Amino acid sequence: MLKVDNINFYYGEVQVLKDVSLKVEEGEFVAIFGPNGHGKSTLLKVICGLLKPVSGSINYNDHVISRLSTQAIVEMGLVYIPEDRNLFPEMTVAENLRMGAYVKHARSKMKENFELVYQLFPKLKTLNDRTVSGLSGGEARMLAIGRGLMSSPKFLAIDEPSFGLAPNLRVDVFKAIEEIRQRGATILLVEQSTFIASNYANRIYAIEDGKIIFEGSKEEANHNEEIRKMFLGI
Amino acid sequence: MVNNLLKNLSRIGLLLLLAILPILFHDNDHIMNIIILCLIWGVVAASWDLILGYANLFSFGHLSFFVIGGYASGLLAKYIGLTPWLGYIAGGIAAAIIGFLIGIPCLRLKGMYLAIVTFSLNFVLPTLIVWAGPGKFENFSTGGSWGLTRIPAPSLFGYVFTRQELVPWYYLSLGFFIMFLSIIYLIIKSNIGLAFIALRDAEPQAKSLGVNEYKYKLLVFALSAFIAGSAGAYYASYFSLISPASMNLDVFLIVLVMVLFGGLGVFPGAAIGAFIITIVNELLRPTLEWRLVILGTIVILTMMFMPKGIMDILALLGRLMKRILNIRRSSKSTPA
Repeated sequence: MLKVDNINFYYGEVQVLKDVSLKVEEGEFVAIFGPNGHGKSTLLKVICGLLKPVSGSINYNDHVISRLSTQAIVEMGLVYIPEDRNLFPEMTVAENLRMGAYVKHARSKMKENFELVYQLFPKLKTLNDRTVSGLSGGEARMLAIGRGLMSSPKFLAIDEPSFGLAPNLRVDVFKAIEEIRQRGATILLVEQSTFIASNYANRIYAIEDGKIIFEGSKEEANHNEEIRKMFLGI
Repeated sequence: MVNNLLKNLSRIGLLLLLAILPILFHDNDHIMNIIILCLIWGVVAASWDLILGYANLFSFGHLSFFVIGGYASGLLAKYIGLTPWLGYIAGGIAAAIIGFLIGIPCLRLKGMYLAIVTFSLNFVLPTLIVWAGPGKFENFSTGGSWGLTRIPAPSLFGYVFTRQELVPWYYLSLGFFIMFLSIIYLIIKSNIGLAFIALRDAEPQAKSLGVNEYKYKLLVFALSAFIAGSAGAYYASYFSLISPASMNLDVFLIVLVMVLFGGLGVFPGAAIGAFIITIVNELLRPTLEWRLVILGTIVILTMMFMPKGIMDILALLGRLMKRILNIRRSSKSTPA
């Protein structure tokens, strides 16, 4: 479904992504692990078109998307959910969700998607008219994911869904993501290091210093001494 | 509950007050004129706030849209005989077209750079207007630096509005004001307004949700220019005059003070600011050139102590009222 080939990206003179290649099949749950500041978020931003790669190409459903605008990419069903606290602070919860359904094809399905989001995160329904600045970290996280769902995405690229959350909330968030996948979406997420994500992921990539240093199933990651030490903390 | 009740009561009270104002002042032309100006500048300030406060684009050429609207409708009325009613729309459209065109080179500009480019309109436009004066065009002259005079007033069911009777003008202005403020409110609450706020507060996120930055920037330029242009057309038909003097630096400053004092991006702050500053400006007339010094001081103090302007004060008053009401209620319910 998504195929990233030899992507290179620079911030000024610093090379942040070095020949990064990866593949995500339809219906998969893929997690990318890596330490902070090693290019994970940059990679997602390049995939969703917020940043343009210096070289390399990105294919999504057999279309080259590396030169398209983010708007065009969102219209194709590939949605990026940024890291925590990246909501619209002056809007209410409901208005934030409405923003999620901004692209044309999503507007007609807005009602259904509101229902879906409230079903996955009942808490959000009770917070409907509150402005975002008063939400807790967990609530803000749920809202960010809920907002991403409002456009009926086929492919979700999620940046650190569990960042800054208490352990029990992390499990809730991952359960919700898994349910979204079971409803037919494909998931690609990045995390710093956590057991929880590896419980749900079909496949795992590890990124270090802008390079992919590992690719394999959860079992393979568990058997790889280096990876275990680095990211799983075992 | 208390909050909503207070809000609705104050709204109804305000409308009633506006409706009966002429009973109090109908024989004082000076005061009626100032109230009418409050309503017109209220529309201009609120439309400027749409681009300045809600879209956070430093568009400092807003008065030129007002003037373009005035000239477009005035010229069409004088030389082609277009009725002023259609002139209000034509003025808006002319301003919106220019606003859209100005918006194009401004798409990639931010902050100070945008401010400088748009501010230069305040110098370009008066020069063009004077250039297109009597010597240049006989049949479509802008009237040069004297301005375009004897712009016809509108008529309704055979009644022609005149400067001798200001009460009808007042009600027409009130209708004009309510219509445009409602339109601005609806824009802010619509998907368009949400997009402006989203781009203002978190541009990358807004883009990642598929909001087209360029489209909405051009849209806000055109929309806010349309409203300012229509207000300019109305102003021109009310005074039967529009001149390059409407773009003088002091007018620019006064309208900017209205928006800042009213509060950026807090509807209907800019309109309330326009009312207060129009009246303050009138009261300051005897102070002559000190007027601008005083207005400048107001801006500095506003920016320092209440960044949301008058709306900060209103919010404070609202909280006080609520507290007083709550105290009363709790003192009633506790047994003595």
